[in-house]
Amino acid sequence: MKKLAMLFIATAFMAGCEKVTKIDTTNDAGKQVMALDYRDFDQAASEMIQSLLHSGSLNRQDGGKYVLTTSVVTNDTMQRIDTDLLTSKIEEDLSSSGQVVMTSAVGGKDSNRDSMVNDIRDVRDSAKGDEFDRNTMPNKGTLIAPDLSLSGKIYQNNLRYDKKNQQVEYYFQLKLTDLKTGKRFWQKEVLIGKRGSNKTVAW
Amino acid sequence: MKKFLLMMFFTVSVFVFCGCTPSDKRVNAAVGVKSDNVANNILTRPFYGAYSLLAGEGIDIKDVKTWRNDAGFMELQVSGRNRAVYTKQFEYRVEWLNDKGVRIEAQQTVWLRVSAKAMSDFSFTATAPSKDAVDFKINTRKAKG
Repeated sequence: MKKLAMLFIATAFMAGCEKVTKIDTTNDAGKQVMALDYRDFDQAASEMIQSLLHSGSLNRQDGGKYVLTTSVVTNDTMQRIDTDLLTSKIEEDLSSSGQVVMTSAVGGKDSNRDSMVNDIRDVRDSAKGDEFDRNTMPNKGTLIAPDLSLSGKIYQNNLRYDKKNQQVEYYFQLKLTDLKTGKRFWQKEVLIGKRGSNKTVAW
Repeated sequence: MKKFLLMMFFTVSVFVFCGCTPSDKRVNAAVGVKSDNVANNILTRPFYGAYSLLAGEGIDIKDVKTWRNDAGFMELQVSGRNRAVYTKQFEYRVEWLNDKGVRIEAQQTVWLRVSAKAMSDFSFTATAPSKDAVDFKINTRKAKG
């Protein structure tokens, strides 16, 4: 019994000593993987941001800022991906660029909306509203509708390259639409292609 | 032996002069499309390739242009030439600096890949993440995988 206990403690200790390293996400020279990893999202987002800022589509003639919302970005891959991994980077840089203001009032996903925007209005219109100083409550008609919407999809195409290898193509497609007119101001596709053994799984 | 050497000299000379034919630099006729020269002839290529490897030939940066686009964002174009006899893939990262020389933090500041064809010109462009950018630094590294 003593031996068994010792063995258990030793095993637990060994498991605790397994080497774990932090990824140097700034200068990561690690191997590529068949599935999408953070480097692919970094690359796609960077190319999208630069293309948008280069295009001048966000340059408002009157010098003001567009109000932008993120609509639906569909995950059409075999992987479980949160598309916010792409859009949040784009939103961050576009906001920082001073060209747009993001809205949390409307959006294609729950994560793009702040439920408190509606909740505080529900409180205002309910009996609970009497508990608050009316001057601190948002008035009706104060929300600003978005001018532009960002939508798109991430698509995966698996191909057989040869007997031993497969080719996986990932297409990142984004579109910027003017919500008043429906005109599409900008769109871009970034392709990330990977080739590797059939043994590696791309989902 | 003398005849053989003379023939070799003649052959090499022809390739050298063919390769030096002046042409519009905007059009790059690839190996297999253009006339052979010392670098791509089936006989001389292994020697030239070995020399290129030994000499460590790689990327030369020829020109860097900067300008501001209509929205006021600084943009740049880096042009260069891959002198090696094989395609070179490398990664670059542009860090944008404001008027105080301070790095502008941005999600777009990541390593991006360029593929430069053998003995061909290449270029890449970048757009600053903010109108505050007035200068930049570019780092490069060998592409892996």
